Amino acid sequence: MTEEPRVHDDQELSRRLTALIRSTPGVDEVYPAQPILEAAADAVAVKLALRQPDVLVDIDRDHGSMTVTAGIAANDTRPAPDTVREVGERIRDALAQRHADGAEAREPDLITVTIRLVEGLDAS
Amino acid sequence: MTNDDAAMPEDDLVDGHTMEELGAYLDRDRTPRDPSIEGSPACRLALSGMQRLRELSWDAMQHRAEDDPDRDSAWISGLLDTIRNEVRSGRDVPVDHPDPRLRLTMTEASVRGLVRRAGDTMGGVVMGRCTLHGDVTEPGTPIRVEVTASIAYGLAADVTADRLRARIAEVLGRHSEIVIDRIDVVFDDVHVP
Repeated sequence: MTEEPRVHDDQELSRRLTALIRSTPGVDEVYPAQPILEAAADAVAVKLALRQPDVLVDIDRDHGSMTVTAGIAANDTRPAPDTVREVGERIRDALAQRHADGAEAREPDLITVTIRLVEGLDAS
Repeated sequence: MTNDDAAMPEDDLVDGHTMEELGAYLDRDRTPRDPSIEGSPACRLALSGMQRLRELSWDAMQHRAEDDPDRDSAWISGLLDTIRNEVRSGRDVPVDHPDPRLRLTMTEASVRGLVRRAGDTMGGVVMGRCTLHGDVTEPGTPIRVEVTASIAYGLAADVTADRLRARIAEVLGRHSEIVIDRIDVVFDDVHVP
């Protein structure tokens, strides 16, 4: 099977992107892209069960396209839209750099970032 | 009723956990850390809401328990049901970006969480239900925000409603790109502070 190296490559890429998102100002946490309840209803549950805590960004390659999906918790130290815009731009720019370096055959077709929670300083 | 309400599953679980389990987890000061709870945005929204509800309602419960314990229990139970229903993701609320390859959104649950926190931290009210009327998935669509709340006995309803509207407008203006048509506040209960 030739799939195995790609899976490992994407796990490493997901790990890097997860760390990149976590380092973005205003980000408190990175979540699996798909809600746990919804994921449990389909085959992704298997994937989630194996998911490592630092590999939380979904990278899907299908018929030559590439999509990246992430969920975050923002904090209210800055406007949440500013935070999610910066997260999206960081992912885009990082993948564009990989493409320029020859590590990616193409740039992503779609990058989806969802704020799943905005936590305040008063949040426990 | 919103489109989202119709789509919500009617089970009692929040990402696989009952509200009772989440309450017990709060009782233990969230220790030992449970990754299945802390790793779930819905559970964390629920924990946040429950924590504030406990802080806000404790005095009120103390006052009301002597007079009408059944009514008080129903009140708290109803608020917990509301929190449970509102932490599910709901619709995607868009955040604008000029690059069409970037699809940026926030969940409806995160918006409702902001509204709830804005009210619960204001003082004088305990937030009930929050509903976003209108197509929040379409940028620029005017949205009517409707909230219910319990007001502390002795406060002027009109002044308190104006304060609450201002806080909700401020937090949504800072943390979302929702265009607010108006904010309707309904005080459906009174509690003794």
